[in-house]
Amino acid sequence: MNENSAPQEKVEKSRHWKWIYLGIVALTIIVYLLLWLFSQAFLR
Amino acid sequence: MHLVDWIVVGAYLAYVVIDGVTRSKETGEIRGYFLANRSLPWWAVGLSIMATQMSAITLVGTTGQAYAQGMGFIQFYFGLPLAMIILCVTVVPFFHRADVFTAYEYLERRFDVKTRTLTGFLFLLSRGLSCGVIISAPAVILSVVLGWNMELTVLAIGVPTVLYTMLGGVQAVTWTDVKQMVLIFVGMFVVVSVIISRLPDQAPLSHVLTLAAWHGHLQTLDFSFNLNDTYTFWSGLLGGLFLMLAYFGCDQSQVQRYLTARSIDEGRTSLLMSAVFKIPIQFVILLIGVLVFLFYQFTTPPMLFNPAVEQELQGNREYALLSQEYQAASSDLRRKALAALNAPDERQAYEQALARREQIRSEAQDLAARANGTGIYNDVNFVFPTFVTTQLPIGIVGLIVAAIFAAAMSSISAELNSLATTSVIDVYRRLLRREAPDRHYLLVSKLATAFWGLMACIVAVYATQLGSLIEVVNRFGSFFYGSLLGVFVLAIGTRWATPWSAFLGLLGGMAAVGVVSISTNVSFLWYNVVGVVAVVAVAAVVSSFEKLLRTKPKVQRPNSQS
Repeated sequence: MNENSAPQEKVEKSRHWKWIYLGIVALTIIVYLLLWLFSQAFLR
Repeated sequence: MHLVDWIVVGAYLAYVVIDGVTRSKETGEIRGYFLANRSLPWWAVGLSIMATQMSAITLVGTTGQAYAQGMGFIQFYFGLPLAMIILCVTVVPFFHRADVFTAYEYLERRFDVKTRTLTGFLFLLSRGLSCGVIISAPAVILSVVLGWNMELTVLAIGVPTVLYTMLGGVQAVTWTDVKQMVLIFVGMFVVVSVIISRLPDQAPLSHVLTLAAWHGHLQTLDFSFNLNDTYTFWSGLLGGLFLMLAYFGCDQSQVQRYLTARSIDEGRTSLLMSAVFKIPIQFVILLIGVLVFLFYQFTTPPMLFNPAVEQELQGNREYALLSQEYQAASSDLRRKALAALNAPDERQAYEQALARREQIRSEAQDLAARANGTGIYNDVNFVFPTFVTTQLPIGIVGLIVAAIFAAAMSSISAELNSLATTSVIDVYRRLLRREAPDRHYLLVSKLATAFWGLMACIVAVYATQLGSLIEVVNRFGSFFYGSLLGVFVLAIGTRWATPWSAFLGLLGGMAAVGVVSISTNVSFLWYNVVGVVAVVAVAAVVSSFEKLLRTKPKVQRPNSQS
């Protein structure tokens, strides 16, 4: 049981980081979009 | 500067030195002095990483750039978030597990001493010079704008920084970075608030931004693909990605920040802070430049932002005539800007009035260029400090000057610390004196910090008369960065690379960047891509050749199968 818990923890940790990286990629794309919207918003 | 402003700047300098020096109690060994015994929390390391990257050039140069050309510069940082993720997956765990002091130390384990020494030497050369430029940028500007003596200004920035970095080591660098970053944030917030509050009542911010949009100053994205353009979406995303990978992954001034983190996870989190916050912070800095531009639509700006040059031209008849025209054009512009805000039909009249005023300013700049004998006059870096000293209230001027000092000192301290680390760990301890007590290395480390501080101050005094200083520093780094990154790609990403292939690859990469920079107009952001590709290509050829040489010719026997 104990022997298996370390690799299991490692897998979960790795999955946790994957989600964080994906979140940052998504956030970055949103920031690009917001910048584009900002440059268009005040043109009238 | 008013007495109150002097007190604010003086209080900041005194606090930073006292705070930094008190950290020396916790750095009695070389591991504590350079790596803080790997004990620092992620948020302090993350702020230190941001403070190291944000020099006074970033504050002063990019606001001026936004004033003159708009916010397109933000694209320079577009590759940063992706670069941080790649570094979190690759170098952060590698360096932490390798338990190294410097990034170049790792290269000896993977390749050999000559690759380590060459990369360390390139870092010392490029960072040693850029450290001087980082001091000279605010020193030149503050000395001119505030009428201070240039050498004394260099010393006012350099001496306190060297003092706390030398005595307190990396702990002092990190904890002062945290406070300096807070001061910079407060300064940015105050400037934005003051500018918005000082816009005319008839011109609320939401309306005024339209003027900037008409002028193209809010254009943040340029999707054109031209290798000669520096600030486009693609050069920022791809060229910037490679530059940021090299800067945060191979430059000891940054690597050392996350080597001080408590664990691999805390090191990763500290880097991801920049991935999340860097673009928004840079957006606000550039927005300050745009707001200054908008403020000067309703208030007459100086015709030349460099007060020393303006002073010299005061007796010039041509300049006096231009000055009169400039005043009239500015009054006209104010009227037309206000009219255009209420009636967009007036846009053309406003744009003509703005073009007229810019034309007169351009003629004054030509006159200044002719008068100084060099034929060059560039006052982009003087826009923000001149605005601060002439338009902001007493007390706030001191706060912003202290923030500019903080930005300079936070970058310089990290660079001095990393220059000392590379000098001692990669050169002194590796090549000159391999066995000595820890106490001896600690003393040499402090002396190395003082030496690099002195060098930086000397370079700073002579590094005047540069154009847009931020580009100078970035260009300089780009000559080496791509090739350094290429070597780390070989070290971490390949099994086939041999010591000679890495060494020759590094030389080949730099030669390739040199050829591209001399023979083409390709933007400096792409040099890093060229460097990496050339290093990997040369290394692949060399290692294949070595493999071929090592393979003994097999004797063919009549009935054997190969």
